[in-house]
Amino acid sequence: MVFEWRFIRPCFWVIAVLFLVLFGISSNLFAQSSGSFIQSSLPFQLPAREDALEAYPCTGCHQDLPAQSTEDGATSQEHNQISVQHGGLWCLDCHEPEDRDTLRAIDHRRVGFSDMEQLCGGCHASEYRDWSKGIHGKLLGSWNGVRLGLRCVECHDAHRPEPMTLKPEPPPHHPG
Amino acid sequence: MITRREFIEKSALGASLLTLPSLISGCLSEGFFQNHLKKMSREELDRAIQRMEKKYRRAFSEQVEVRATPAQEDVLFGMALDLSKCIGCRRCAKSCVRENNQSKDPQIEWIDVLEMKRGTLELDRGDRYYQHEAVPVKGHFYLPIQCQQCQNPPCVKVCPVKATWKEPDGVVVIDYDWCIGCRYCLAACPYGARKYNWTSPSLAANEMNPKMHYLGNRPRDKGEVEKCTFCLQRTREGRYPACVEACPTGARKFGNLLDPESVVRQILAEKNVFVLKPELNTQPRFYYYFG
Repeated sequence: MVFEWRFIRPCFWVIAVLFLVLFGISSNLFAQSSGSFIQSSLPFQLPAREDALEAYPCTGCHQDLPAQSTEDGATSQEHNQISVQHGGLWCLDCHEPEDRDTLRAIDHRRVGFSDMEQLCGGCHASEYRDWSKGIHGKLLGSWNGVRLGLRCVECHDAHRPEPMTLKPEPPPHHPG
Repeated sequence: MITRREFIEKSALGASLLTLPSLISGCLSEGFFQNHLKKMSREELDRAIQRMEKKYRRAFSEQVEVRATPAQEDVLFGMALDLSKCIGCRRCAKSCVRENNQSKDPQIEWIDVLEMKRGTLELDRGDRYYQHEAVPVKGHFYLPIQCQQCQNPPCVKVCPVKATWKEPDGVVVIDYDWCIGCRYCLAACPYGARKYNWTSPSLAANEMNPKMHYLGNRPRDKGEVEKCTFCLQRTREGRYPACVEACPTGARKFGNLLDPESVVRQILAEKNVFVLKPELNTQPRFYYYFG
């Protein structure tokens, strides 16, 4: 049997629908892994955040312990050194109550601690945009090689963000 | 009995005979005839560097290493500084002193941090000598000034001996040994970026940075002019300038202006950058912006 384009024509719509469904699934997969996707396009490298956390994974305690936080901001014994003064936020606005090893973005998406900038960027959009281009935040490493970046909380305390103040170094000698 | 006339004649002769050998050896020593860096052959440059290393090792430490790394190809250095992030802590100025072997007494600092009243950009109203318990102070912003690495540098134009010039990577450099100390460049620079060694600079051996560059941070002498070189002993080897690494707020960004992916180019594309005194057409490669 010889292949002819006119055989294709009757099933065009079937093929078109199949194509769209497949495309939809693949792009959905892409969206699921958007965390790593954004990371890889950053102009700098970041170490995994989980390694820097003292008590990670949080489920180490929290699989048995229920969240004791209440809306008025009172916290349990373990976390009583934290006082949240960040807008009008409280713990479970950013920490995912269902899966304590993750954070909760503004659209209630679960993001890992290594993707926290997606959580912060939900409110601080222009800072996030600048950060993702290397404009906001300090870069170390090499200008023409590997640039090392920092995550939001490595400079800003997420629970109590405050502008940085320092004692200045001594002034230059006055000539007079 | 010796007459007054004879005494003067003989003592003059004796004095000249005594000083003659050192005069001759001084003239015959290679350092006296050291050429302009750009006119040296490879061998002459190697010998000059050996001579310098010997001199600095004797004066400071055995670890001294002088390099003359040339500019990388297709690189034009630029810096951008976010004035809304700078808190005026002067960490940049002090790290620059350590990196670039600046004199402690008399004090030379290549970076001036000006405390400015909000709402003005008049540099002569800025205060270099502010002292506070904590910065930033309300109602003020802080404007660090150093060599602006002009595309069209007036300091280079006025140098009568061509001891200062613009390198292919855009850094304005000085051959300290060729400088005659006339200070025309100090008068020509509209940013006050150039500093002059009025007296012999003092530098403690244990505070010295032994990684030196011919055109960068090697120790200067009395009667020589110096200024910021974008830390070319670091940046020509891929590192960031000391001020960029020291800045606690990340206000300073450094990179290659010819690379569209570099952070400095991203800032030029995204932010409303400005340069200081644009009306003078010096075309600085040091960009300021309020982020």
